[in-house]
Amino acid sequence: MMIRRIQSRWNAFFFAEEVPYGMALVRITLPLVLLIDVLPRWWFARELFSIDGAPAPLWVNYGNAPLIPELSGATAVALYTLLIACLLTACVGWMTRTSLAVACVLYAGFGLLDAVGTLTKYTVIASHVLFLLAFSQCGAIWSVDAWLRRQNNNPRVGTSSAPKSPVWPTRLLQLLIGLIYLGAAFTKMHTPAYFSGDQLAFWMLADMNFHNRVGQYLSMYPPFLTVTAYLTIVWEVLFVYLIWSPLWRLPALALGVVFHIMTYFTLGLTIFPLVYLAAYLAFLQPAEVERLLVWGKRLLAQFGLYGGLVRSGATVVPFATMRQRPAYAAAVWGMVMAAVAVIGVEVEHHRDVYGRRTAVGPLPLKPLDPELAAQMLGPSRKLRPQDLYYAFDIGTTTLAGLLSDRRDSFRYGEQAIVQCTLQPPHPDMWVELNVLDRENHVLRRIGQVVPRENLRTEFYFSFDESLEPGTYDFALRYDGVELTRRRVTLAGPAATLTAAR
Amino acid sequence: MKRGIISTFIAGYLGVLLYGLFCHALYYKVNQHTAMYFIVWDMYCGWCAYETRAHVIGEGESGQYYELAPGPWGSFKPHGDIDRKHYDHSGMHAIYMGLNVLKNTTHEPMTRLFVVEEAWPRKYNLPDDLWARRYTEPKDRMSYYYVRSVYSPDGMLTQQGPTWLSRVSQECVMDNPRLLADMKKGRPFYAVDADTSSRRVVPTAYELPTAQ
Repeated sequence: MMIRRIQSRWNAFFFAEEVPYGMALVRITLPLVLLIDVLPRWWFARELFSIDGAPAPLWVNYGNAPLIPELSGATAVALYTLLIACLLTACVGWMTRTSLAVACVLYAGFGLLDAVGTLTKYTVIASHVLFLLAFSQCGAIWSVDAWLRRQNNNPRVGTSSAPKSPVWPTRLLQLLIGLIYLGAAFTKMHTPAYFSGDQLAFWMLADMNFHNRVGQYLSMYPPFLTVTAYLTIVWEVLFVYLIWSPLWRLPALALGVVFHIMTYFTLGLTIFPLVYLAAYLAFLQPAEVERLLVWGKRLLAQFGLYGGLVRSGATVVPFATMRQRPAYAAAVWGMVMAAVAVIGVEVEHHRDVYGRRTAVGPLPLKPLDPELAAQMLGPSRKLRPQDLYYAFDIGTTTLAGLLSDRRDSFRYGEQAIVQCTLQPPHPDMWVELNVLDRENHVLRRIGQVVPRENLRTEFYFSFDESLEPGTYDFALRYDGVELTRRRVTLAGPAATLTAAR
Repeated sequence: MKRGIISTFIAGYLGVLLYGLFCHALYYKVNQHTAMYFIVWDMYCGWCAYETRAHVIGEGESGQYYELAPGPWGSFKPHGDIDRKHYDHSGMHAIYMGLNVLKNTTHEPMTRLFVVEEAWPRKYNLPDDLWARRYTEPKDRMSYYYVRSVYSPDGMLTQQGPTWLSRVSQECVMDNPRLLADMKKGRPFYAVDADTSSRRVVPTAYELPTAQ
């Protein structure tokens, strides 16, 4: 009984039949996104992926035997051209399944060959998505294949009813996305600095991706990062459960869209969010897509475009022979792919990437400035004291251990929290806080040991009646050197008046 | 029959994904095989307060130094504004980029090849206007250079060290006379693990304490 119930639920979940709108949308958009990533690499295919260049195979990092054979220059270029062509044919849905299967193998394979400049986690995610698309009926609608099939059955039918197919590839894609988020949450749980906002702040400051000014700006507000860090991890853990709930599905997806768009602004990622946004289309339900289609058709009709499109689509039938023998389509596809690969090899050969066949022969090496070379190859310098600290802030309140209200003016009776954040790695340090008056006289001197495992230390300073109203400097010192200072203003009634009161 | 095959495929695929999750959550054999990269979701698993860059340099017989990567034909910038070589965090591949450039250019004979790491605190990446809002002192970025590895002209490794960050971390730990004295007492020889993912100091031999 129990087994039968599980079997029935399994079948309902994986084998229900739907029109594969979502997967078709993923099929159309994902290859376009990947082309943004793939096309610039074509110019460097020989250098990145072949033994006539400098490939960086992933298995070298793992210390394993090669997973795939090394490619000659011409083979790498031919296969890379084929990858581009297959992404295009997958997008338009021509020989959809074959195109997706070939694209999946080549995309993952080229990633494996260049672990330095090509393989990233979005490459892996996109490979999984291409793999699952290849098993789906995503080419059954909005594709050249569907159009050819319709022409073969009845050229005058035009838009016939959309075919339904089992949803298991869609479910696997949805589960894949949920499980990836769960894995990403585990990564964050493994990283204590994630919860203090330090990890995020330093990633936002990194210059490894595209320019990300918003991230650089937000890195100055660690408490905000801590709050978003907790929100993100809660959302990542819950996503795989929430997407099946009618109530929570849309909020979970909306939060995901915002999250991925923000990775562009805060981390400078481009392809990664686009891959995810494309994959999110698999979450669209058929009824939602149909509503959108009706709305779109109405909109087009308002401009007098929809009727025209349908009429022109029903009358033009190129490749008439394919209509009679669908197998011809496969042969034509194969010939086009072969021709594209050959053209790619030829064009790349004429491009002469290394300049070997120029009139002057191979290019000369670039000399290095001797002064810079001496600096690079000379003895390593000791860390400067000013490079050991990251932030020095003054306020009165902390949130999650981080100063949350940076201030530069105080009143009598308030206690200032002076927080110093250090850069890891740092040695065990004796850090000193000096409070100075306007004439630069040291009024107070407070010191603390900061063990190498700590990133932060706090000093507490009370603005009591012993101080005159005015400006004061808080100076951070280490190893006899002043690292930085902050100026604050003490306002309010004079000390004598306060004492009289 | 068909549904049974598909169900087996579904179970197999989900099983592989769950195995990756399990391994990742419990640090179980995550680096055992290259294929693990395809099922372990450890995006942004590390972090670093320093920005690092890689340089590949060749020393000619004349004493002139040359930049060996990127080649004179142009630079490939995969994910932003910096060359591909800078993403080689493991330090395993940069030398091959240099060797490829040597293979395809005219140059004098080389005597040594170097892979040099450059590092600077990431706080200096802030644009000037944001720097002025955050810090009172002037922006004074200085790069730390460190020779990560030295090679013969044909690419044979002759000298290798850990990453600059590992080295600095080790220096912070080793700046302790008591620890150094303890190390010298029982363990005759130490090797520093050059593996970038490890910051351990590994004893290569161990001597049991003897009765006084």
